Amino acid sequence: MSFIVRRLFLAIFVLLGVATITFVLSHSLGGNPIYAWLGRAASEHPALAAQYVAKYHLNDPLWVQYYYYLAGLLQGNLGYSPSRGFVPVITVIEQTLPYTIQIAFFALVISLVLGVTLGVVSARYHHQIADKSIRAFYLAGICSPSFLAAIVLLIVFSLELHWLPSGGSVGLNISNPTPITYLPILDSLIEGNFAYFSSAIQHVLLPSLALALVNFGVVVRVLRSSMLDVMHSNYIRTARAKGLSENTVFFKHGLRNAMISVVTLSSILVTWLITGTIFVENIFAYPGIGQYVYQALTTQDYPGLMACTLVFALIIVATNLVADMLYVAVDPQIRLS
Amino acid sequence: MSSNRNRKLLAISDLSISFESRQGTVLAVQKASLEMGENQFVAVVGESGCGKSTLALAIIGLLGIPPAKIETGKIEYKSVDLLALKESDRRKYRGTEIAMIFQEPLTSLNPVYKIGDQIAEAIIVRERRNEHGEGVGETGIMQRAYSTKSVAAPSKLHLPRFASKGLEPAILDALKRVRIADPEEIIDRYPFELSGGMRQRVMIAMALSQKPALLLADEPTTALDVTTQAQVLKLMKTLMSEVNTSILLITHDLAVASQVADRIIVMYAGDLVEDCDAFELFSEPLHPYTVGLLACIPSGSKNVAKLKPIPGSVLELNKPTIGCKFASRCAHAMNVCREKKPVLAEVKQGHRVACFLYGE
Amino acid sequence: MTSESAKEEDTTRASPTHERLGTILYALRSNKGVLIGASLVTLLIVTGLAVFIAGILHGRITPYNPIQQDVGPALAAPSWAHLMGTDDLGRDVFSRVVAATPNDLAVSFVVIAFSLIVGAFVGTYAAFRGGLVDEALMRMTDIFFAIPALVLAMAIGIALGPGITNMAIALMIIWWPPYARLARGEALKIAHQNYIEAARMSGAGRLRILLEHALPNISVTLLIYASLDVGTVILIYAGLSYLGLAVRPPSPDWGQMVSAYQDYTFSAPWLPLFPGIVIALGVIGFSLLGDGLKDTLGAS
Repeated sequence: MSFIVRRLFLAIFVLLGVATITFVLSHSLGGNPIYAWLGRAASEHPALAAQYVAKYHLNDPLWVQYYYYLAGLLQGNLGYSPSRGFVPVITVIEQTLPYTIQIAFFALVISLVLGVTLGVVSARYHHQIADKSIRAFYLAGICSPSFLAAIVLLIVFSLELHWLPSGGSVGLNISNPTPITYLPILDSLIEGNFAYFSSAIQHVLLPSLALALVNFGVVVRVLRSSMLDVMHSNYIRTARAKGLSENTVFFKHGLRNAMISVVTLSSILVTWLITGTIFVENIFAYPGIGQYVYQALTTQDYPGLMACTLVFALIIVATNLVADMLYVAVDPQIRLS
Repeated sequence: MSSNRNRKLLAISDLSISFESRQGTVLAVQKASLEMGENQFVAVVGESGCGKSTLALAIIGLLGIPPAKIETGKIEYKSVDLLALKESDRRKYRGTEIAMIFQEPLTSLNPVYKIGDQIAEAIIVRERRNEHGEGVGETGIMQRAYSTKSVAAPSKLHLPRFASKGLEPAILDALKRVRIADPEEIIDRYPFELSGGMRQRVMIAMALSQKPALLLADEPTTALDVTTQAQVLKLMKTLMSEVNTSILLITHDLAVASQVADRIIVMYAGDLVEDCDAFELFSEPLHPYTVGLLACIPSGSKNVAKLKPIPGSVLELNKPTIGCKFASRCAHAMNVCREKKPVLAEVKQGHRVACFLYGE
Repeated sequence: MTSESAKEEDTTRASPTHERLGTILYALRSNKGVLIGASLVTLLIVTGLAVFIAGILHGRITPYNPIQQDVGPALAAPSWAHLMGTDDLGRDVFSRVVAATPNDLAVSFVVIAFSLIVGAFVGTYAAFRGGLVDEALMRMTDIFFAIPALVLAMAIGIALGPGITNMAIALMIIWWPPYARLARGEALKIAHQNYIEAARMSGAGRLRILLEHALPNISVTLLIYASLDVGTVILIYAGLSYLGLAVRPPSPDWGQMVSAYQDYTFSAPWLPLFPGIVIALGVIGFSLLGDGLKDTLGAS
């Protein structure tokens, strides 16, 4: 229990640190600090600008500004986004985050399924042809930038085979599901809106696959190494001495222990997947945070960029906490000591 | 079936095992022959590296076949040559016929499953084999009267919850049999929560729950402190008379063997050099190595200054030797000892020795 | 063990560096992966150097001028005249790809070298100092770990403004913490070993202990990590370049080229593919080499 509490404190500390960094960065954008809130076009909106100067005490010393900055963050105030017509940044985040979560979810599932399966096969047949070919395959994956994988998939599946669409989150003229969980794919499933569901799945497949292909290799590597270690343990010898079949020994005793290392890996994996969405969403025109980041970059939308940095950090910290909790659930030694 | 006291449970003949290592081929066990009957407590004693663990692993079939290799010999269990069986058949003997416990009880138990679950798994193996009629009958041959399905536990990733399977009474029985005071507590615990002595008892309980006819124990008390060691040994001796199981104890400690064994076999550098009743070994040791070993045992009554280590060191097993392997360290070595290898032969009733001092 | 056998050991031993070189060469010969990696890396480095030197001398080693337009028909498919085809402005893609080689290589080498040096010193210092300095380092690195490298580099890059040098600086700022942590870990392991105690007792100052004893031993671990890390820097830099933060057109840079040619994925697929594949090949080369290095040096 105290393990989780400690991790929670660490998480808060880290988030504070990140907020401080974004604060510092906002003020190094040169010129008026108002740019950090309204972008360089702040001069075109004097009323809004004046409002901000007052509210965030932008004429006061730095530490006062820092306090109000943090207070503003906690209230969800992240500025206005020039690249999206000056709507509040928080609104843009609300609109785009669910889509990125969808991609990240499917990418994670594919990565884990592919990674664990191939990791197990690699371990079972280690140093043989299967192992070596799997290694060649995943090496090509992790050494490729995500945008390359995205383009290759686009060419193969969209251009050549015409199996899957090349962009967007869903086909045209399909009604949106009512927001229940605010995750459109999930909502359409709950509602029974299968037209949306099937179209949305088709649209999320290629981007998720692109992300998975460049990231699953780490899962294979970790699981393979973990399995090989575990299979040399004494308790595996005991399991065999009990007369269990090799399959039972391999999966119920071996894999069960090796999977622990995959749990710890998952949080790092999510980090890479989320970062990769910046490129993949852009190539597939998928309306998530990644695409927002890309647009914000190219239009110098500083409020958007700073906010996205914070959101990314938040997601990562949250995922780490979840992974820590899973780790506690899965390894009794941590749980009870 | 009390008249089966003299039936040979285990008969090993001319077993030779080699290992491929970076230094070349090592002969871990050379032409070992021994017999064990039912309800016997036999100890195999020898220094580290003398091949005793290899022998035990070969009996249960857990020797990694590369790098190990069975060069020659037979291991007959209830008249069936185990070495001639396919692995899938061989596996059926593990657990329910021949069981084994190991030296490090902490690492020998799966850290992520509770004690109760691990014992339940062992019991289920036993029950399923009974169900499928895969028991070993009078003739010793595995009978597959009903089905040829292999024994697999019901679920792939989780051990069955013992409560729902109604196995709890059987598990508690197993734990009580090894004299664990609060078995209801223990079945819910994880291995790392128990002490070393408790864990070893659990290992014994788990092994015996499968009702094997032969239990191999590889240095089970070496990792324990002296008091616990004595307790576990005493437990093993008591159990042997309670259940119909023979025990083959592997140990480097002659003192340990003396506390429990009916019969003691001494091994040196891969060879069996002496094999006799325990009492006789201590009162009338024949092989010079055995005599040397006995002189090394510190005991209350002996003058510590008189402890005599055996001079020299064990030969490397990858260099083939001509003659007796102990010759270079033997005070009684004769010329023939360096030319020919002595054979383990019966020189007195129930007492075998491999030494030219006692004839050819 | 007589003194004769001890003497025997001495004379048959080669010097340590000689042994190390020997093992490396042996690894190169026996391990196919390492061979491929070494070839790719050598090819890249040679090309990069050639382009760079040619640039200084106001010459050119590429078949065409990389920024000159209309050296061929626009959007031409790969042919013998244009090995990687031409882009929408009629520029030779192969020349552009080759000309961009020094960018990725230079940035990654500089960043890694910086991280190695700074990380080694900071980490060892923190380990020896302990206390508050150590804690501060650990907490700081925790924060860095929470934000993915790309996002952080991006954020810093925006503050600094686009450009290769600025990207290199941004990357240097965020890249050294893992090295410091690694060095700290290794230093802690060594700090308790006997010869360090002996050095302290003989009166050697802290800094001296650091330099003479700790660093050489830590360096192997750090170098192995670094060799596998080069590929990662290349990927991140390529990402930053794709986002337009590195070079300004018409200067060629691999990532930027993929982004610029993205819209032609369906009509002229070779355009975004070639620069992308070259990035991947570079990373593969360094990864294979790094793996091989790890296997040989790690094992010894």
